[in-house]
Amino acid sequence: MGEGRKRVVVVGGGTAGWMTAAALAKLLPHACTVRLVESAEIGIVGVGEATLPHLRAFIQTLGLDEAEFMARTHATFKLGIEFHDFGKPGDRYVHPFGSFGQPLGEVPFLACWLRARAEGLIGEPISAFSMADMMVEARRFARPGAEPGTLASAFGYAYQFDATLFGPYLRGVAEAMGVVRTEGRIVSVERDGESGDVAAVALESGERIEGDLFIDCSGFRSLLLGDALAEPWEDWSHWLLCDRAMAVPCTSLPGEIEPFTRLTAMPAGWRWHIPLQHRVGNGYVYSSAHCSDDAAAAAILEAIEGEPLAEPRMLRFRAGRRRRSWSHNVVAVGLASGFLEPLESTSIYLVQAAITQLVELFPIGAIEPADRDEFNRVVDYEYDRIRDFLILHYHASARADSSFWNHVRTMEIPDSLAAKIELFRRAGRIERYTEGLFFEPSWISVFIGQGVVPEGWDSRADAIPADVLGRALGDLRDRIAAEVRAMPLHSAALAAVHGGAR
Amino acid sequence: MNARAIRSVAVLGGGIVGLSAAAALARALPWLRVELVETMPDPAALADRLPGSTTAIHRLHQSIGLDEQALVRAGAVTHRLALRFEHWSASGETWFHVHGDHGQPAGAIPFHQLWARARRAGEAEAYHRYSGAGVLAAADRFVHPQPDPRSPLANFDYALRLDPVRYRAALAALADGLGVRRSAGTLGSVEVRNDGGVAALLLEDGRRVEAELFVDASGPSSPLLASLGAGFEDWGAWLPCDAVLVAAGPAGSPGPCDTVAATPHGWRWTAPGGAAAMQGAAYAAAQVADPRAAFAIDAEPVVVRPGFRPEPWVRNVVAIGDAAVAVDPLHWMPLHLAQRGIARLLELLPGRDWNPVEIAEHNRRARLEAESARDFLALHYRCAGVREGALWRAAAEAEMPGTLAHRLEQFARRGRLPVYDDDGLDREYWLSALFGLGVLPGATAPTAGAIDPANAARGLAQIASGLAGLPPRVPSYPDYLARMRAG
Repeated sequence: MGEGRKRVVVVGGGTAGWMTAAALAKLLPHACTVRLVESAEIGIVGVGEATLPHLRAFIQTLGLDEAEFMARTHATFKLGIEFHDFGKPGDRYVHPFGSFGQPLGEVPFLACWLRARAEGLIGEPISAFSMADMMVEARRFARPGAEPGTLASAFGYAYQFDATLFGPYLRGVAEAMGVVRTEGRIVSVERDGESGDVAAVALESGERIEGDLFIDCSGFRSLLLGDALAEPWEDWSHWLLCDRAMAVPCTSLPGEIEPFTRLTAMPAGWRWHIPLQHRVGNGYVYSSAHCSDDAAAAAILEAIEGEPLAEPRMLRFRAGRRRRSWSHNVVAVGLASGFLEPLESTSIYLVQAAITQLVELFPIGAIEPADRDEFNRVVDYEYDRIRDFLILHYHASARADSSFWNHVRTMEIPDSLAAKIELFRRAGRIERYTEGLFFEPSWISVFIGQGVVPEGWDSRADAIPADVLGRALGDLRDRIAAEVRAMPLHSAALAAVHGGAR
Repeated sequence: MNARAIRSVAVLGGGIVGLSAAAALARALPWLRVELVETMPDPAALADRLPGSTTAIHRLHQSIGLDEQALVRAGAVTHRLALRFEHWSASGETWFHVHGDHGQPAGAIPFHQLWARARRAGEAEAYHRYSGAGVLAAADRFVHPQPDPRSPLANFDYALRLDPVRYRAALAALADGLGVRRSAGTLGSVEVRNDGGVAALLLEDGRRVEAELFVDASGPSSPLLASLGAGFEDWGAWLPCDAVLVAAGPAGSPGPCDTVAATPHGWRWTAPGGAAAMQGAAYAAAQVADPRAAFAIDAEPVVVRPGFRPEPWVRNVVAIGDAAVAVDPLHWMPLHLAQRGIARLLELLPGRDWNPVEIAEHNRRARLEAESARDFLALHYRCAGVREGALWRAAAEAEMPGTLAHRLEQFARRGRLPVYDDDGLDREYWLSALFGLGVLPGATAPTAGAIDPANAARGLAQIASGLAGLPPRVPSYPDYLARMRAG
């Protein structure tokens, strides 16, 4: 290959495929050429209507205009996820994008709040100290400020969009940057006899497409990594039981568009409610061992608030991942590498994380096994930590109203998660790490939201005089409320974006 | 009040580390009865004896309420902007390890990638020439970081150089003000509780010191922790210096850089703190028969044993500083690790139930940080360009810790620094050392291909020439210090 550019072949043209193609074309124009093979006959899954704030960095890296992106994908703003009935029926909490409160001197906010609550210095739940949480309650939205340490910068945001439109939008972007698209169905994968690398893919048309590096974005089929290379599958379905989703879009109800994703626990899983500009996405994620498909369809139709816009559509999946995402010269991105249910909107994030590592570790000359190992090390981190976080949502529950919840509530959990729960239960501490997704505020929101309340707290909070602590927290609560009151409603913020786009 | 909160602590160790820990605990938890048993100083407790700190000192000072200006006026500290490395790299080029921004990134492409590519082509000056702090250090000048973020002198940090005697006195006065009860004593034995924790210290003068929590800050022998049977991990294979000299002098005017210079026997350091100047050396005891002569320093040789207590916290005993992790003086890592250890203790201070999960989290973080420091120091031996001397020849061949091998492997190929959990030393720390040592990536990250090398070289030249004009506009360090002392 020498000094020449690597020939990258992306297999599959869904969200993962076009995100990968666009990013490689944008960031590595001198290092590779990108060709994408997709077949119009194969439907795309289009999961991940709800995203995480990281997607904004991706949009910026590609140099895309936010207003145009939002218009093309019918996007709304998202400030977090509102969970209903998870801890127990009737419960509600928000996992907000942003932090809770501000430390008092060196004392973490959580400790201040725990003590203030225990001593009756303050009555508000911890949500009153989160900008994003209060914005969710008020259905208001403004972009965060840039100055660190201010309330205005203490939150982030993401988007809720029509995932079936995101791929096609990125296709236009990628093609404009030189990505060559080939329409066709792959009928065979040709491997090098000596190295075992994939040498080429053959299309139904007879065309043979050679490449140096193949990106498997073929979705659950995992055409290259799973089928051709037979990379073993690590199954997590004993922890994450849900293996199907019944999805149905419906009309929006009049009133304010919710700037958040709403999830509600169901007898055999949970359902999502994702408001877009023009409609609402709904779906019931369930365990087929605990609920029939017909019952799931009936349940989601019963639960939706607007008029259904299509027949319910069923998706099958299985929680787990391929042992290695990068094997030989094949890198799997997205569902071809693994699947975690969309309880925390991580699907597109995992695609993005894989792309980031691929760009950082893009082969210089021949593929180095050490680079491959490093890629897999980072991907493992991401998967493992998201996995534990998802299991927490099921395990930290008092629901005893169905065999599904009785099972997940009482099942054995990974040791890594058991230790995290115990650490938090003692004094509100969170295992700290620098790599991977979901940091302290995310864990705090789910722990407290689902009834894991610390028995003690960081003792340093006890050194603050009670009146000082009560005043500081009351003042913070009032300042957050005032900042949020001054923001426009979500619909007005959306109208401003789309006014600008026109 | 928190029902689990501890009410009393006894700290063993009368040096800087013990006093800092006692003061930090007393200030964070005002109800706490803090008893400090000031043991005879252990010459091998390097964190208590060396003049060097890192930028970690500011956070400790903030949490114990020690004011830099007051310390400067009391003659207890001077400033250290950089570490000057001499004769250390293969090229023999002197470099300045500074803690701060170098250059500017070009969009998503980090500056160090552009620098490394230009350097390979012979078109870049030393890395520190692209940093405001580095340029000042090379000119022996100093100012505090400027508040305007656009200033080339905004984004860096500095450390303090201690006069160990005066600094200890300032800490003692502070501790007294915080109600710490100090008394000289020698540990006789330890009274162990039924559950295996420590009930009391029995001192040689017959006193019995009871507490709920015990902090062992008495140096590398860590008698308290050792009484609970804690193990020791020997790092001698990676950190070859197991003996040090520490002495006063040479007198001279104060400067903003400490110097570490490699010699065939090991390396020697000077810390030009004016009246409080200090010097010393580190070497392998087995290879240097007469260290006083070899380094021309008149001091009693002290044996140190680099290594780590894998469980620095056992039940109700936690070790801080050399008692938990012992490393040689390079980069002034001993006090750095001690001060970070104090911060970690405050952050994870347990309740009286000594919960194993909380202890495990403390020990996990302690290990990550200690290993990262070890790898960083080991790099300076493994990748040194010194040709002469048994120590250096052996170090160049030595096997590396797996994490360092992984880091170097990634860096050597494409200038990538893998991220690890909670390692306490940021990217600039590594980059400044790697480039100073002459470790250049073999290739540029593919993303940097988007920038034309000729354009990048012009940009580099512009940055360096812009920064080169800084020193004449900044006072000399002795003037700056004199002004600060006058207040």
